[in-house]
Amino acid sequence: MLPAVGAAPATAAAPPDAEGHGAARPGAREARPYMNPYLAGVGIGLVLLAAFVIMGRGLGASGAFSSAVAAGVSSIAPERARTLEPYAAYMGDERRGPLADWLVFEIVGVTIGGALSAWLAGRMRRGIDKGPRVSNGGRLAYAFGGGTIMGIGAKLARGCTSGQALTGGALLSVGSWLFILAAFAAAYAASPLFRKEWT
Amino acid sequence: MSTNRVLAIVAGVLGALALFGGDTPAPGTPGAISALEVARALRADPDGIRILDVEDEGDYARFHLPRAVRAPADPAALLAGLEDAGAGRGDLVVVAGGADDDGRAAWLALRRAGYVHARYLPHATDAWVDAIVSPVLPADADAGARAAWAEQAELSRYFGGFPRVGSPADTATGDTADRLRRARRRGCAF
Amino acid sequence: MNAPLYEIGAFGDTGALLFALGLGLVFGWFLERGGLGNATKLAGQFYLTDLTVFKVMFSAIVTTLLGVYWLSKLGWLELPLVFLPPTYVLPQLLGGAVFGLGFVMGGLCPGTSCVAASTGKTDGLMVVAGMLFGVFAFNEAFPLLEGVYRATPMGSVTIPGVLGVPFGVVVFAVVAIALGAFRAAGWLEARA
Repeated sequence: MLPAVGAAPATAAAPPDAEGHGAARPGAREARPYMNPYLAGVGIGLVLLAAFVIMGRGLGASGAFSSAVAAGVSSIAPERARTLEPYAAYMGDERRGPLADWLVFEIVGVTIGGALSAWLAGRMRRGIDKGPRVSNGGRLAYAFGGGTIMGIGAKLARGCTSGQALTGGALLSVGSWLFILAAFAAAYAASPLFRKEWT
Repeated sequence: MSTNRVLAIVAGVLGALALFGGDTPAPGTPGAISALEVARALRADPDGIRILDVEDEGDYARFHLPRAVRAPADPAALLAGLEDAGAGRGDLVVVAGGADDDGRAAWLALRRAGYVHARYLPHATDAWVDAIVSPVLPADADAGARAAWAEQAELSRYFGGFPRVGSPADTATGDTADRLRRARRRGCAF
Repeated sequence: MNAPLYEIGAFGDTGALLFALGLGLVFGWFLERGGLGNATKLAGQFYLTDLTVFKVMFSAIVTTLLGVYWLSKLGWLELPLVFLPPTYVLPQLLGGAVFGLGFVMGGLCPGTSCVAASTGKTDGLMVVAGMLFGVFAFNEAFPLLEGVYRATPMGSVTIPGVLGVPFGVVVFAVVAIALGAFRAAGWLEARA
């Protein structure tokens, strides 16, 4: 698919559709379609495999959030962060602090990698992804609420889709597969509640 | 042939072969353990942890961790000894390394043999002396360190050590042998 | 056997952090390429209109699983040196369910929310903010949750270990189920 060059249509830019087609903004080249999901999955699988081979550990994400929270609390109430167990576990060592942590560096990488990919594919765009029937404010409220609930769930389960589902799943960990089944089951069961947000 | 077809065939073949490929050693918990963790485990359940000291006879006689038994450095002999002792593959087994050796080699052998909870305590004597026999809390330590110290001091006393608060930026003085000698002169059972 | 490189002492902690950055970069790249930085696409999973999440996640799991198994059999990866997250039956079932609820509500998971946020999506940013708040809330409420959090520990256990079957048998089963499920996913999407 050749990028559209030159003068853009006078109408407002359409957001990328489910396949990633659509101009990012007037005059921009057309956003590239998304990659074959199986290929993307194989790519991610190979990255995870590299993590095992190089580091002897897998990927993760929610742990970085725990480190960030520990760092934040530590800057306001250092005693609390050192003595209360859920914070203390993420404080790292004295010299380097909570942010010199493997998962924090990994998540920074994820953020940069995602931005790079979007930029090169013409998908960098300010906006809000939501269904047609919900308002922007409503969507943002759901996003915050959903994030909060996921934060609690990830702490309880000691991981999220990256740490438990992908990493633990690929190692056939019992708890990780229980997590996957429970998460998918709950999400499907709860989906009727959020139809208005997405469809 | 489409990409998806190729992927599916490769996955299918590798998956089918796996059916006949058989078993493989399992992944596990991290290798290194701290002296503090060993102390906690010993106090919580002295029979629930096996400590294997792979130092030579002389070093073992001079000092070894509570309840540590001597084990041969040779992996095959070490594994045989563990089997004879009736150790289960799920037991907590800690390899206490000597001064020059962190016990990793023996630990690797244990893990390869399926002891999923095998751990190693590098430079065990030094680590134990630092953490339990004569731990020191620097006088300028902050509140967080003091809170953690309470448990460490208690564990130290439990095992007959003498925890103390030192002068600012103090670390335990003297080498390990010195500190052990001093501990023994005080009548502590080391 | 010469891997994991870090566990056999091939490099130190600084190198480890640099690898984290690099691995994260490629991870984030593929997440965005697959469209997982887009909440509507992710949520479509649960209305059976767009099964991308399932396809990406399970092809990743299958890829790594086959890689781990065969590298181990070939003697190139020492699995006993790879860290297996411990199992806690109750909190992982409960936490999984709670997480799933949050996922369909927020439309993004922790990793993909960072991708969405970095590509300009305000909803991605709000999910990140929510996650930070949720972690904070959990930590502050820890005394109440500690009982559940520590319940039912089983240590690092694998499915083949628990069932008493060879690792390869479960690998075969997972691959077979995944391929069947991918077939089904194709049919479902065609009907959407």
